[in-house]
Amino acid sequence: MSHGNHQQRLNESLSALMDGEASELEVQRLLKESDVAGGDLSQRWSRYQLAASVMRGEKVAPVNLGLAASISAAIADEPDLVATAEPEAANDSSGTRSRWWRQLSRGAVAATVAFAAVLGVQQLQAPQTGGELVAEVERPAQQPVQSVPQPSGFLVPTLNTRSVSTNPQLVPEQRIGMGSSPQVQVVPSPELMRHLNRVMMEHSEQAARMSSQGMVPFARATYGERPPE
Amino acid sequence: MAKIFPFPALKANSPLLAFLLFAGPVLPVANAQEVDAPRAEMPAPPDTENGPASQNSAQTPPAEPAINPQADDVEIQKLLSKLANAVTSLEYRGFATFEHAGVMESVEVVHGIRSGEPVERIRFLTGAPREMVSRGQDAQCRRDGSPLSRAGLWSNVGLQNVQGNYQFVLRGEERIADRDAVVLEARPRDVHRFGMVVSVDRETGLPLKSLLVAPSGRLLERFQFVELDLAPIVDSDLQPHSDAARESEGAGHCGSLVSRWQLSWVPNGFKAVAARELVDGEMQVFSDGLSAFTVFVQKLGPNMNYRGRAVRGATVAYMDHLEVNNEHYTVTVVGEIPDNTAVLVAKSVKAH
Repeated sequence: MSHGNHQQRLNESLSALMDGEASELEVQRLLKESDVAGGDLSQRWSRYQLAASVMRGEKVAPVNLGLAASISAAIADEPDLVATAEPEAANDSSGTRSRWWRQLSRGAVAATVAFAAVLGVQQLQAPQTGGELVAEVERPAQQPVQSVPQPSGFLVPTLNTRSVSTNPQLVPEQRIGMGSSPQVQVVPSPELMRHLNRVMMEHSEQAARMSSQGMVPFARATYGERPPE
Repeated sequence: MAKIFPFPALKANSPLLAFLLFAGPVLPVANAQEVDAPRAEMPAPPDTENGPASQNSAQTPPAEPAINPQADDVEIQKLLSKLANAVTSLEYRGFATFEHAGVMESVEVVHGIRSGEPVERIRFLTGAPREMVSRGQDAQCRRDGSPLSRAGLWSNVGLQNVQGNYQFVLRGEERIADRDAVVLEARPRDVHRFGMVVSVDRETGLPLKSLLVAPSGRLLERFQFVELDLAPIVDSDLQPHSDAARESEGAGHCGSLVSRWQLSWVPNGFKAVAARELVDGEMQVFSDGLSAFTVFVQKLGPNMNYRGRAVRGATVAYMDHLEVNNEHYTVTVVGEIPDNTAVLVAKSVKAH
């Protein structure tokens, strides 16, 4: 009970502070409480602020609080991705591949927002040594690149990543002979993009007519469609 | 408990599998099949017919999980023909997820039959609105008797072709969309195609979940039903539900086009199943029964003379160019096939 009373008094003090009517005693009490109780009071403070903003008719974006946190978290997580990629790379005989992964990871740090989606769809067939098994199919989230899209999930609504993520990326060959990991990735010109989208769609549609896979090829063909511009 | 069974067995099997997958280019195919043969012919221990198979294979790790290959073969055959029948003749609708490399989308799918032809509608429920309605495509192909058309695929000839390129393995059971499914794996017999794991509805034979797997074991794509409804499809369900819908009328192009282009090499088991003339060139579709790729040869102008690959999900597009009589042609090989295979195919395009 006494706790309830205390809480109520705090809330009143908080309101008073908001309205600029808090006495010095109340301010002291709030400061002391915010040190002790941690999250609860400051959360309430945020809510009061938000309510006040709404009442004042201001445009508020409450999501941004969480968004900022998620971006920070995403960026904070990024070095871990690089770090986890490295031990795996040590086991991997194709050193070029790991270098490539590292580059991608770094790129993701620099532009978490724009590149996460692109990385998400990027799946190059870097040649690998045998040893992994088909049984591991059931555990898809092993690749470092696959954990990247997680932060981007928060960002998708605010950005038009849709057109980015459905578009293929072109990886020009730098050396003759395949099996080498790509060195450079270019964002295709609009003309090239149109071509790639077109051929992928035509292929999926035709393949679907031959297919025994049920609806899957149709999903592929539809996935590739560009939203009307 | 049933879940435990496949894992030790597959792990034990994996070095052999890896060997088969990666030795492909070095060893002739015949060798790989020789390696396969002893496993397939391995007799079932006579006294364990009713015994717990899993215990046995756990005690002898190198053993193939299939203790009774003959029985498995029969079940696989049955399953495959059921699957073939289901994808061509069943009406259903449902919701599914479609994932590749960390991107997950949800889709609504409707599969109806009108005048004996499949009519499909698929609509993405996430991201930009995308929808496609596809109807009436198979008649021409059937008339042309293409063995790899949907209907012909699982005929005896088609089935033999598919089994020549993939080894089918029963991988147990699972529950998808609240339904019991049998898990069937198609392991490629060489490096030129991807593996597939399909969970087939026990009751109807519909593929409820399908995975596309790279040789490394990496999952490239997953399509999985969340909800399935087998009630008859009404006409309104086959109408576009959004302005963004694209309608695709299959005019039936089953390999009748005489192409001026020819491929000096395609992977074993791939056959031309469709061809089509485009405004700026032509396309030819090849299939081995499960996987497919398309070869485009087009006149797109010198500024499209790229050489390189683009990847989206499980689909790769490898671009190259070709000069014939001072004319530039763009060659693009697109498909759910390994990159290296696409490159080899692109390099093999020649003018007649």
